[in-house]
Amino acid sequence: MFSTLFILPHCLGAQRTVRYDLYVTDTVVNYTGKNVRGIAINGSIPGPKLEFTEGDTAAIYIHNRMHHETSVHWHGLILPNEQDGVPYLTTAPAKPHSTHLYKFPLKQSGTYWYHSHTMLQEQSGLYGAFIIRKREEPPMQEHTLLLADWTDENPHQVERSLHNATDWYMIRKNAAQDYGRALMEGYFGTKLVNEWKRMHAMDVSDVYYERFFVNGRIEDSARFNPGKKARLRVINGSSSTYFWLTYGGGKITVVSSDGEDVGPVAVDRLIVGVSETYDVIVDVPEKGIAHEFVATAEDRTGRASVWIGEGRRQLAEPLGRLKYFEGMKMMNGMMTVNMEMKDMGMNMGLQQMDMNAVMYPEAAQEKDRAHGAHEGHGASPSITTLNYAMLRAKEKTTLPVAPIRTMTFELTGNMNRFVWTIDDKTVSETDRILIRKGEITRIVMINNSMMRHPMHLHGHYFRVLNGQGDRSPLKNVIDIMPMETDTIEFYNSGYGDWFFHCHILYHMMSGMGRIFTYENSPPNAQVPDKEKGLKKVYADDRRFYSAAEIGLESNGSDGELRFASTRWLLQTEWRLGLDERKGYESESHIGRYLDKKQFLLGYTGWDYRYRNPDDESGRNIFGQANTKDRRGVFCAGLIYIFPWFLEADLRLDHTGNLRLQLTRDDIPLTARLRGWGTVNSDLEYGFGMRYALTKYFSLSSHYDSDMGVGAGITITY
Amino acid sequence: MKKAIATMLSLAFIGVTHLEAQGRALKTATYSIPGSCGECRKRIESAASLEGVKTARWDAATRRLTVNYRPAKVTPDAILRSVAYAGFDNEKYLAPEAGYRNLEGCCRYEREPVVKAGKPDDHAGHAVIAPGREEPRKTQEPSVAPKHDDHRAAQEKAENGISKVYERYFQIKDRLVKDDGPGAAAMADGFLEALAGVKMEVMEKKDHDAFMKSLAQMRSSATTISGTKDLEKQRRAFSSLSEGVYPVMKQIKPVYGVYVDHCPMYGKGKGANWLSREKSIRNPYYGASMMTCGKVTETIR
Repeated sequence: MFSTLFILPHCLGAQRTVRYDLYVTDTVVNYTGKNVRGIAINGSIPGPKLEFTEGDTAAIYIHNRMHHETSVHWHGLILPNEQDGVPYLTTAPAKPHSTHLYKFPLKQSGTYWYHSHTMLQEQSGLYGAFIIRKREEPPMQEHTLLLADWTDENPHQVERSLHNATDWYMIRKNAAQDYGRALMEGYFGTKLVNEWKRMHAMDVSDVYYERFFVNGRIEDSARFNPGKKARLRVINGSSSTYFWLTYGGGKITVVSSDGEDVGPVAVDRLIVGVSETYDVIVDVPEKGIAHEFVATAEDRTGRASVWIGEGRRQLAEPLGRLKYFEGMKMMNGMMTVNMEMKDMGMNMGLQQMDMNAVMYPEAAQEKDRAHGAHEGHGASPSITTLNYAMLRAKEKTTLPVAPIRTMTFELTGNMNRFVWTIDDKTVSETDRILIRKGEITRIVMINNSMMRHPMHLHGHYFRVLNGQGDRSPLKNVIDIMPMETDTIEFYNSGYGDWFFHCHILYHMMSGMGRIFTYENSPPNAQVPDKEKGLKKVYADDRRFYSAAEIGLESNGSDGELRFASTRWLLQTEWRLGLDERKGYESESHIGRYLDKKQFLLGYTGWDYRYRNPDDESGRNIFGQANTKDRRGVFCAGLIYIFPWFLEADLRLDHTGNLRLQLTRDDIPLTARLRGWGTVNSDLEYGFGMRYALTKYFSLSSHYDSDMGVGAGITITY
Repeated sequence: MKKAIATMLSLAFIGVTHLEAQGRALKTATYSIPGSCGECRKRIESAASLEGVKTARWDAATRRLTVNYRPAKVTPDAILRSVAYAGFDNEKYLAPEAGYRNLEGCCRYEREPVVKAGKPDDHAGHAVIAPGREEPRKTQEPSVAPKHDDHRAAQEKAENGISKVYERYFQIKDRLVKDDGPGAAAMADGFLEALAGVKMEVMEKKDHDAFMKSLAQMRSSATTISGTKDLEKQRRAFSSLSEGVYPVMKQIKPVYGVYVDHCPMYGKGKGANWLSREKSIRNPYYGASMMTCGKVTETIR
């Protein structure tokens, strides 16, 4: 009797419910001297670290104090589908000025995190660490490092700019790969071939970030007992930045990935993909010296660090700037003119061969040293870099014996239009993928795009088939580099809809993902109208992005407005003269991209031009009469982007007139100077240049066979 | 009354100047920064001249950097960090390896050996002197015995005296890098002296064999270097000296890492090797005219 009484409270303790209250508010932050909008949780960015013990039940109240809805996704957690936090797909959104309760039991331990899954809110600050400790864990000093990237620019503007192939971020990064620089550095031919293969430039990331943070600071420090070991829980909570981790005080011993323990493996550095987590153990220096644990952005435009130890601070070796033209040369070799990647039979996978190494200055130095190292592979024996093949689970991870369904996903994308897809289709362009409880889903992923993608599966662990047999590691995010092929598999043991997507948020929002749906799932009370909910989910990648280029020059105004989505383009352009003789003209089109690579656009539209009396009506090169006065025509045509970005526009109007126009825009002459030229079969031509002063304003000048010479400013939106 | 007004005016005036002074107030701070020559001065001062620093002066005699800065714009922390990135340890920050290694020879100062984190008995990160870390350069006369041998080297290898031979070899190399013929000759004297001081009797058989095999070559080429001030002849002999030292060093490894560098151009394309403790290339065969020609082909450690 007594013993029962004793055990009872103990049992209650084991199933305790841990409650957190998160107040989400709009806020104003100032990281760079500029006040900008942000989103805070309980007044801070990032949000508070939530701590639990395995077996607890988490009860988290989201008090949305904003004027717009929100959601929270519990990244990496195995939980009931309706708690997953993908608004309209699995969970009801937290409406403005209301409270939403998330409640779920914790069946795992490790390092996880949470973030908004609503539009681009995560970028603005809605994220935090989620730590679950083991029941009986030997105590060890530890520190959580939540990494993030920050731009003062509104994330929606960033997204819009990316969809319009802005080169402003490259200018900010000092990474513009223009012809001038190519010429000076002896890579002119490389640049020419690169553009011939219809690639604009070479980079490892899309966005320029003003700041990189660890726990919301550029520099953090951790209080540890000197001379002992310490566990660092590293979470990459950035919106699109991979981080290199290096430590000045010795090896980094990786003990866990995505919350799951792996056999300790000591490395000199590792890259953390967007949304991945790693637990590492480092040596804390003796008193008197502090070593720097550095997270360097993959594009090396910035870093954040944590000082380990107390005393004089030994600066870690900074990672040098990327050698972009070397990367471009490598890309030229890998890419066919039709934008298909060829891996030259190298069977790449599991991050084992980092082709970007050709761009690392430290790799070049190491290569010189590494006697007889295989040319071009950046193999550097003295620096051990973690890759997925080195991860070995602590325990057996074999799945129950069950039927296996294998699917192949090709990761695809159009860099120039910023359309990111799987098998050339967005989430909204495909049906949900039905899976059956009790089966194994195996996915072979091939990255045929030019960027790496951290692919994340909600609510499940997958095994990464990395050659470790029954100790293949469990993860919920896998980074796939260009040209790599990786295979993952997971046991279907739930119900409902589970998102699988690229965790670079701008890629996800453009449609790079799929939804897995369990057959015969029970209805979800949080999403009562499934069809309506799906429409909301699909709306994310069906959006149109606007763009404008407006020239205000001494010879008149030229301009263009565009609205583009994944497949459609609405466009209107105009040329306004300053007097009647110069007249005006306008062309408006609606078009659709017809091929997979989006080089071919078919369109139809309406043109009108007006020019006063004594017009020089002439003949085009096809011998057809061609008046420019009060000419209004319907037309239909095709635009094809040839190698070297030569845009050919062939069209026929309702009067039977044929026009062929060749244009090349945005020739990068120097970092900020762009040239362009155009000529058509009506014997009109023009050429000009513009010099980017800011993201939106350029000085410009051009000559046009109709309007003459002009100079002024061009506004690019 | 008049007086009162005058006082008030002056008070107001003081108030204004005080406010102004607060906005643009300058602070002066002095830090001890190592270094010894004009080159160091340039590097230290330019590294310290961040935005908000009005003046930065480094005095070679006192080895002190005095900065006059605006606290509203820049912090001492940022200044010291920048100086450390340029290669100079200071009270708050220690320079990264590469920053230190890129320093001119005369700027190399005596660094405390970096102790890696962890307990000495811990094999993952035991107390070793970081490979590639350059010991301070000798600028004194060769007759002065090197008193700053690597501590571990001194402990382990002092009994056979080979570490002194290596030390001298690197000094000859450094002189050739600087196109300093007389200096190289003097260092070669020191090399011969160290060679004579080697206690072969305490060597293990393998070490002894390797040493004996190269002894004649080392002796004759060092004699050639010490007997002339003609850089051409010295360099030819240095090529042979390097060939002699290399197998010895491979057998009797120093505790620090050594890089085997190769210059493919020397001797009309015949090529020549040399040994160095620094990873960066500083070519002794061409000196200033082609300082960075060559590459590392091997690491001995």
